Amino acid sequence: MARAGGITNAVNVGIAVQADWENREFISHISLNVRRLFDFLVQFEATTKSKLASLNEKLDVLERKLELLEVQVGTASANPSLFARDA
Amino acid sequence: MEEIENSKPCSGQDSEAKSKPLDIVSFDKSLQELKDLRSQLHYAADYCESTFLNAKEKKVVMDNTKEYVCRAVVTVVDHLGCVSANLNGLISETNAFSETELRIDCLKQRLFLCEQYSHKLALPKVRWREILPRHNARFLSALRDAEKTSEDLRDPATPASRKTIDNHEFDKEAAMPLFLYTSSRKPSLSKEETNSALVPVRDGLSILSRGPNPTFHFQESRKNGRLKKSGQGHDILSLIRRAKRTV
Repeated sequence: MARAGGITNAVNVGIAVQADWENREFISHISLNVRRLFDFLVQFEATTKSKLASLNEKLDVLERKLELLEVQVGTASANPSLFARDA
Repeated sequence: MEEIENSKPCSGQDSEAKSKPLDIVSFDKSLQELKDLRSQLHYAADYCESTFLNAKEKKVVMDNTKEYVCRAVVTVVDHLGCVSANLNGLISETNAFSETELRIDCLKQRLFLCEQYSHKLALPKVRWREILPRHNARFLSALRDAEKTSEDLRDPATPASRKTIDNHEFDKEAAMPLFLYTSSRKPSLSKEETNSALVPVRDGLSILSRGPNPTFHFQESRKNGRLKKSGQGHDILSLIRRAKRTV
């Protein structure tokens, strides 16, 4: 009886150990996926930042062009005699 | 537990088919769903923990929790993919920038055309003309009085000479203040004796709008010739008179 009880305990311990290993494997899979997700988010942040920086540069260029145009139009409108037809 | 299972992740094909404002709306919607998912996950984690502690058969609870975690991770990944795809699509759409650049280039071109037109209008003002305005300083000799007297003596009734005299006769004092101070103080004029006696011609018209007057110079030169002749004749007459007196 004692021998059978020892075998049963050993089997239970083995089952528990196997379940523990399965749980650990599951956790490792989940943690690996979460890390992948985190890596993706970091990479996406970097890509988005670079794209936003390029967009910001384009907007700056457009803004400067618009300012230049405003100054040129203001100068032209300040001297209407330039556009007046010679009498 | 079923909330996460029922939450449908948005697909990228649908967002591509939508127009620009719809993309923005879908992006906001997916971002809001992701924010709501965070609170749902926290609530589900608390529920799983309490169920695991209170349950007698913990294996079943553990299996349910595992399944829930798997689905939750998949749902989160889908939502994140949806949000990132929407954001990437919104950022990558640079058609507005190209359109704005085209509009700015068009405005630049228009402004350049306006400048060219204004230059074209302003060019004839400085272009070469057939009759260019000449600004010559003209002077009359102060010995004109002597000439006048000699001419009067010689031929007082000549209408031509009177005309010329009348035409060019002027009030010396009236022309002096404006012209004499500017032209008579020139060093080249002050060196010669004859130039010291020169008086500027009075101009009725403005100098700038006055064209060349060759006849005037001709008369002037002719006058100078006469002046020389009359001066020589006057000297000869005085010599003859002196000789007569001495005789």
